[in-house]
Amino acid sequence: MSTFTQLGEKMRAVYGRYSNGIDMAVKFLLALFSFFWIRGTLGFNPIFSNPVLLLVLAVLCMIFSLTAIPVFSALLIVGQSFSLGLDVGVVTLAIFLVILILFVRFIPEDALEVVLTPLTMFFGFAALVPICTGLKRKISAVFSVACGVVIYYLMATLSRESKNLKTLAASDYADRLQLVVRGTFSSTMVVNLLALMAVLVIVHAIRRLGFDYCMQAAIPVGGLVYLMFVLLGDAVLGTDIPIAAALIGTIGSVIAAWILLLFLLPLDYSKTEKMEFEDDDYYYYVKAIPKAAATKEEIRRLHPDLSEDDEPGDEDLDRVDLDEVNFEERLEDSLKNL
Amino acid sequence: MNLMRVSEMVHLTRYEEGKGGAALKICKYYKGDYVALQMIKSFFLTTIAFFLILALAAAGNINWFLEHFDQMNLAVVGAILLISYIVLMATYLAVTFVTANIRYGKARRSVRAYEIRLKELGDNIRYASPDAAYGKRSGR
Repeated sequence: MSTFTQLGEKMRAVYGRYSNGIDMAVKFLLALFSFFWIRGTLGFNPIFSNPVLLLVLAVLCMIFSLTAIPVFSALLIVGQSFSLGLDVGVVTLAIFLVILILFVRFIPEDALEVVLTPLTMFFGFAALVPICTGLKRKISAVFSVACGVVIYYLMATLSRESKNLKTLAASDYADRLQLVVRGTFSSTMVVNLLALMAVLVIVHAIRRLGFDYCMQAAIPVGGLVYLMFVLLGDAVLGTDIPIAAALIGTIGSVIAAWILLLFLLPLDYSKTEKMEFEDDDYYYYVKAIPKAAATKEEIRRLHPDLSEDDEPGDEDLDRVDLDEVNFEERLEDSLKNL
Repeated sequence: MNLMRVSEMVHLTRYEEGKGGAALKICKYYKGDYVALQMIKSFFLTTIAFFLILALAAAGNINWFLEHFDQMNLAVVGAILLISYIVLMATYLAVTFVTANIRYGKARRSVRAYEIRLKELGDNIRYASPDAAYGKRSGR
């Protein structure tokens, strides 16, 4: 456990130094990965599959905010779908417009889940994004996850039915439209949508309860909720979600979420402090859980060859003895300055 | 140069150009006007979305519609569509009302804190001398 904490500390120190560059690099890589994944899954149109175009779009995403990635991804998907026929393109555009109108207005600003949900679903780790989102983000992120699920099934349908759509004549628009719409809004999609939304809501609710190790408890509960929905869906609606793959993917999601939690939010529950105090307007109940941190000695033990000058920065490693800190006094002082 | 004053100006500028930009735009409206504007936007957008959903539902079941069209009671179908539209509209207007109120409240609190600091900067309350430290403010 302390190894993860120490690695997390080092990563945070490095990120603190080079955050601008790292943010841009992450945006570029995520955009590139998403665009090439769309190219690999759909890839019907040579223009929208051109690697140079995708590279240019990824560079633009590096410069703009995170919102640019789902926007460009949507444009690429719509562009690819028009290669299968005007009617298919119009239906794809209509689905994206419905998502934009009904859901995008209520989702958080950066909408990272809209991009990550289809990616993780494609690789079989469907529960990973809702679990992590429930631990870290606001409840309104459930709309982002829902949009991601719909987009995933839209892409899966276009990919699966591309041969049939190319075979059917343009005049058989009834059959073509039915293939796309019914394939996207299938019972499997509905079960997955409800399952992932429920996972996010339940994980978020458990996290908000605030008991010790609530986040660690929320992760496996989220995994169980997803599996429960999948099994119920299979029993009631006869969905074609492979149970074994769902089980393996869920276990992988839970493990990955646990590791991410250790890296991103290592809390030391053994040093929890509870306090009560009041000011003119409110009575406060405060629970403070310190973040677990590697000490200077532990870092030096890991890297005995590092000199004093090579360490990330002493200010990053200075740690106050928590027993000597009067949290109540410091909190009162900070509130007086509001 | 009063470094604390400069530091405060930097913080305020960062707020204006960052997260506070959206909050400042929201607070240009009165609360009632902002909520009403969002609900009007929702009304038109939800109407468009309803017709798009209708078109998608028709596209997905077009063969069924063509086979059973002559057997359909159009009055009943029309009533179902109208009720669906009203339910969808009511739901989205309610969600818009709640989210607009929450957003306005958050923006207002954020801008209020910004305005207090801006006024103090202008009144030179805390930055009268380079050695002035954050301390208790009179009247608070």
